Amino acid sequence: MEDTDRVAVLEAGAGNTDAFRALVERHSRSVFRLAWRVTGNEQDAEDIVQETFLRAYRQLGSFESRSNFATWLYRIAVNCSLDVMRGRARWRTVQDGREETNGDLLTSLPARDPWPDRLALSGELRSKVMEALGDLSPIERTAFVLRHCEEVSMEEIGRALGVNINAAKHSVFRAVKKMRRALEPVRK
Amino acid sequence: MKHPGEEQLVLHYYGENEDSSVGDHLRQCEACQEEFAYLEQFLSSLREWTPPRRPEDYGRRVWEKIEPRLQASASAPVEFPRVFPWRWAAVAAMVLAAFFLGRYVPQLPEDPSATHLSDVRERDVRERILAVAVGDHLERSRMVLTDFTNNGSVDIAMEQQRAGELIEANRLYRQSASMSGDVLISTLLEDLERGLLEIARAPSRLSSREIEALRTQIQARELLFKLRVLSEKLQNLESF
Repeated sequence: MEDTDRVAVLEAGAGNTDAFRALVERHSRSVFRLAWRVTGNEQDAEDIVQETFLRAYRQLGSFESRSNFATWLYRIAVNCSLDVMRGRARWRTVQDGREETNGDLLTSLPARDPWPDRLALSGELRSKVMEALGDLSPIERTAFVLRHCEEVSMEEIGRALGVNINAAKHSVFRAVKKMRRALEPVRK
Repeated sequence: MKHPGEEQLVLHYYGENEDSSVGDHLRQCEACQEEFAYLEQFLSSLREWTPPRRPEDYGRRVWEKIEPRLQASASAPVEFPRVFPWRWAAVAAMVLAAFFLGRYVPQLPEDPSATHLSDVRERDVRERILAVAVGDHLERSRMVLTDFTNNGSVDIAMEQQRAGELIEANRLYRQSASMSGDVLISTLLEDLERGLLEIARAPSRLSSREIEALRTQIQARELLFKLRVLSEKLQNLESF
């Protein structure tokens, strides 16, 4: 699939819209999956899918042919998702009457968005995990989704989030730790 | 014997530990084996995290939604002509002139009883025209900001030119929104103008660090998000 993508990207960059269409059809679901897992919102995820491909189209010229197209696309999808999360955090700050800070809202505030109940767990355990997922910061959630669900390497996660590999590892670890803590009362 | 910490176990689960000591320890320590087994069970259960189903032809539907906008992107060199940088300001001036002319010049009704309904319809039409014009301007600005934030190179001359071409039109829309008392739009346009000016006035070739600093400033204002929200509101106004 990588080679097929590479050829399609080259042709799309040369103006062949059918080639870009093939890329859109091939990768739409995976982009939606990622966007939904990061934002927890179906409509936002739909918007992010479209925005991701529009940005990718405009940036085709900057895609390096030896790179992996899916990973490159994920990076764009992550940026789009974080734009949405950043905006939500910002509005929430204003609505809650908190003072605006210059800090990065993506790491400092929990996402606190209603999370759709789609985990195959039962009863109290599921509700605790849902709560914990909502308590993750957008960066933690994104790092966790990329590593756990999409099996992206830590190095690539770091590049997608604009942090070094150790920070990416810490973000994944913090996400797992928070969610495990949510289970402690249930486990006992 | 030193037991691995929670972080080491998590990284071991994901195959991210660079040394083999954690694996070696787990083979020998029952307590840590139990702890790791619980971690494995927990993380495995989270793999059943199913997104909402998408139809079989989802990719095709996405394509149908974006294809018209791709054409607009593809024709960007025509939309942002180098020869006519005044074009967008001229369009803004004409739209605003028509909007204010209709608003402030009294019309002589043919049928006095139909005056009110006719006035309402005309006002609606003018406001929709303005909504379309401002919405288009916001969309063009959003494209410039998006391209600027995603530009992987240090040469931003193209984005600077496009930003420069939008500034005058933005100023006109901002001033008219301010005169109309539309605080939401005038505040956003003021924010947008600052962002466009920062891009337009920066040197064409910046160091990576300078580019990143400028991008961070623009991203910190959440301009892209605000532009998206307002564009959607204006689209809703257009459709009524």
